[in-house]
Amino acid sequence: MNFLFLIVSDGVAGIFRSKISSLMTIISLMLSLALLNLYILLSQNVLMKISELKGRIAIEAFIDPGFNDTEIMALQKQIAIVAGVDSVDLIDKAEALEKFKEMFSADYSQLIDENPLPQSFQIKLNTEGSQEQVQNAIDIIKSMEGIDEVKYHHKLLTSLNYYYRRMQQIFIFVGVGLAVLGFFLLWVNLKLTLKTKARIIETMELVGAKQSLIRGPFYVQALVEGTIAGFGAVLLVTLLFWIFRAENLLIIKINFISSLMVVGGSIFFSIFTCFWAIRGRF
Amino acid sequence: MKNIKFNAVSATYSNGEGIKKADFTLNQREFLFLTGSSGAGKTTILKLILMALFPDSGDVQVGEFNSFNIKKNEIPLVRRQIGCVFQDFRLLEDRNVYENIAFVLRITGHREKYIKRKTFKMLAEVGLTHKRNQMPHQLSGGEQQRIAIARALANDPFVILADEPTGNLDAETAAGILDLFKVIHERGTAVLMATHNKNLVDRFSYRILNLENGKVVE
Repeated sequence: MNFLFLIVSDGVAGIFRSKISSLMTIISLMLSLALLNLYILLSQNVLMKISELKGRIAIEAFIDPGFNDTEIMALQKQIAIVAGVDSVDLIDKAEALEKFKEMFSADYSQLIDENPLPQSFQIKLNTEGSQEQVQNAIDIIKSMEGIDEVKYHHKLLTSLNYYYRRMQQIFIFVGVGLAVLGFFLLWVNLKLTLKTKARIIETMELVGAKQSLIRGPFYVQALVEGTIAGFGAVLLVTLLFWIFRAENLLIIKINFISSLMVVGGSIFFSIFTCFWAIRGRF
Repeated sequence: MKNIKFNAVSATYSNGEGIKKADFTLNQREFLFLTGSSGAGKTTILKLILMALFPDSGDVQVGEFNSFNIKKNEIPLVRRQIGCVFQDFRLLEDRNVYENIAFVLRITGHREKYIKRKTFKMLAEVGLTHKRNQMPHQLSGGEQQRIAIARALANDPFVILADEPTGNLDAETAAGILDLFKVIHERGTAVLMATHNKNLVDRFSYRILNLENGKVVE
């Protein structure tokens, strides 16, 4: 009989021989992965939302009224190359007046002869930047010749930066914890299976079975269980979003690539645990 | 001619038990009793033959393989030319009677058609064809030992190692099992039977090796 066929058939048969243990492995792996998948999806979306909020906060830098157009353009270029600056838009006097009208829903321009509003730059900062980088960029802009005053939502930006960093740390910590927990559950499960099968394995060795023939079916079993658990996890997460109609709330949505990564991760996770659990046995 | 040869073999465990300077040969078609009290070293000799244990000094020759220079991947090949019968039967509890016998044929790479024919033949020889779909735990002790013998014989080994094969059986069943070993021997397979049952040994006029404090006395 073909050696590979023997390993594959024995591995698949092994799942049916130890139905309860296999079911436990599949369920524990599926739940761990679904939880991890859900967690990554939600944490990425939360971080994305904070980033988006950070992106909406613009810095206003008011230009010295004595600066001419050439000097203003040079200043704009100078600001654009400051580290942490994403974009610089010039708000001229007319635009400033328009904004003023929008903000106060009134037109005071008829009361005075000249538009008193200064020209300014609306500067958007890189959303990935740390608080230190943001502060640094602001300080540089403030110190530039031709900049009269810099205004920004200091407290809000500081808070958003703080929460972004903290969330990032918590998400990584909990995510790694969940992954380790899943790995541990699988490892314990497989160790228990090996313990109960220790006598069978020993007998197989005594009647002349090669190590590859004894190990092989365990890997096949892990491959099948990992694949089922991976697809199960994707299905479970998709189902959860469908049931709670939460798909529209997500910025980063469940997609084919992320699903494929869950299934692939599940197979890798399963085979790696199998390798880890049986390496001491043989 | 395939045989098993112990050349001044010593193998001791950390507790001091084991065998000392054992010298003997089990020839082809021979029936040999290995006697001695518990802890005398009977199982140690069987483990040395199966290369599950290696000598501290001396060497064990099993067919064309020698413990002195055998490679790790050759150990299964040694075991495939030996049939093993244990006191506690050691059937693969997760598969049925048919699969237990078929397993040893599959690991040697036989075709499924041959495996089926040979498994049925072995089942017929031990008179348990009708129990082929049962699981080991559904069989009596005597039936389990018959299946273990059928499994041991499936690959046509040149020797059968039996470690207290009747130890867990009642007198009547044990007699039946011994008759089976006699038939196996008469057909040309060597048998090495480890036992501490003197009555059993006295029923036959085969060669006896007695183990006393790890030393082999003929």
